Amino acid sequence: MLAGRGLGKSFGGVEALRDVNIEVRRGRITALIGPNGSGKSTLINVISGVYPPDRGRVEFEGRDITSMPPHAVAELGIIRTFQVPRVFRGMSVIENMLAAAKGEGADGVLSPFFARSRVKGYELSCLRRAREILDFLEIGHMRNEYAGSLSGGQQKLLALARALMAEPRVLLLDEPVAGVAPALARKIFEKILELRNTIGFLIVEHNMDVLMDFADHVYVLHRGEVVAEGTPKEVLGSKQVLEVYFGE
Amino acid sequence: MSLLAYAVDTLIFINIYAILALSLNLEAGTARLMNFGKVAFFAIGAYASALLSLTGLPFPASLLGGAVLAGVAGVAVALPALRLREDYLAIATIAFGEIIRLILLNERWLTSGPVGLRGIPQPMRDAVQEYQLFYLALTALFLVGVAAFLQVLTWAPFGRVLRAIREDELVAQALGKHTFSFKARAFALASALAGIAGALFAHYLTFISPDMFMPAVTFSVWTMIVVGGRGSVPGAVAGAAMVVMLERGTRLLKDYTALGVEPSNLRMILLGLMLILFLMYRPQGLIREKKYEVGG
Repeated sequence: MLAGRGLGKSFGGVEALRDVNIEVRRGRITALIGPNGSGKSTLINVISGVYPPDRGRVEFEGRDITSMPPHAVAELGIIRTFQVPRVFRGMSVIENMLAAAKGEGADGVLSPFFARSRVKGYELSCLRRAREILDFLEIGHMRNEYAGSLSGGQQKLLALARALMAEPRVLLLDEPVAGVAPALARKIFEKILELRNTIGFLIVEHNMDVLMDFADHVYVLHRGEVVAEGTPKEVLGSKQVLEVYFGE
Repeated sequence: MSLLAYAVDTLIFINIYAILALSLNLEAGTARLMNFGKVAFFAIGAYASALLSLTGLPFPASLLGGAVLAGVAGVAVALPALRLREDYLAIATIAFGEIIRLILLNERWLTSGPVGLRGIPQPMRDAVQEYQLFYLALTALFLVGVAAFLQVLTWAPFGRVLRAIREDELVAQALGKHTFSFKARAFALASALAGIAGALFAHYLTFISPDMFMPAVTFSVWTMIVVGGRGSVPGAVAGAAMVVMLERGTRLLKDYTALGVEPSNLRMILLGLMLILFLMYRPQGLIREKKYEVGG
């Protein structure tokens, strides 16, 4: 579905990614782990079009999407979240959600004047969907608060909710449950399990307990290279992974 | 000028500057597009409408021409400048403002240079007796129309995307928004609205010259939206009223007191002071931008 082939990226003299091959498929949850500075966020940035890769290419459903701008990548249905939640702080929670909805021709300058009924219908359907997602993530009661006034964990949930609002086909989630209460974190992953047949997931996560229970396939990045991959069980037992995390 | 005529004159200026403030508010308040060359689009609207009407075109066509030309200039600036980071956009627009002023000053064949354009026709001048009151009503009509248009647009999906861009452009892109297209449309629209304000200004005064379009105008308009409340439509109008009254007040003051400072200098000092005080103690301005909320 989504694949990175031979991806390389350097910043000055630092090689952040080196010949990275990765595949995200619908029907399985793909996890990306590795110590801080191993290149996980850079990989997400390269796939989502924020940084063009120096080498290699990104493919989506057989199409080369390398170096497409972020909005074009997102229009294809590849939606990402950020390690730091980056909510629209000066907007209410519900407006954050509406801002993420696809425009569907309702976001033109003249639409509210010459296509009023269409815009009204669009707003109602977006509101309905936004409320459902917020309620599921248990932040529905905060809908009228400024997003900037939410706690760190709540902002993470809002970032996830907003990504779901954008009708993703692939979700690239950068530490989606960091700072979220453990019970809710598991609940979120249970929902992700439900969605995995319709949405492909690539998840960067440090919470090993949750990952090991829910991930189907794990890539381990270290100093910009994939040093191990496989099922959680295989990866956890891998000598290289133990070396990466605990040293030789 | 009688006190009543002075008051009506002040109200006319409030209406014109409020339209200009609303146009900057769409760019800077809603979308965080740092336009520090706002006066250029005001000047283009004023000169274009004046020149068109001097060739014999009726007022509505001249005004429309001024708005369209200012909008086209907005697109021309937006295409390269909106790709810049916001601080570079600010510098590029300052430069554009000065370029336009220098063109007005030096292209005598078109603009009459420093002498300016005189005898700009006024709409329905001979048909109306109380002309100042008529012009007050005309500018008020334009202000209400522009404010209502922007109030609807700002809270429609288009305005919501502009606010998202203001908050975090990269995130808006990551959610599939072609932010450049939204910014360019907002910039062009705001430039056209500034052109309308410029046209109303020119036809009211019947005389314009390049020294009426100094960078200080941009500074005043920025003060209007900071004082009024960035992103707020009623705030921009309130800010325009406050700044225009302060500017007019300092001029009146010299008739009643012996000031040790030139009124124009005092005006700039007070504007600066007001800006600092608002930024320190009421950064949300007189009327805070509305929060989008939904019921139970």
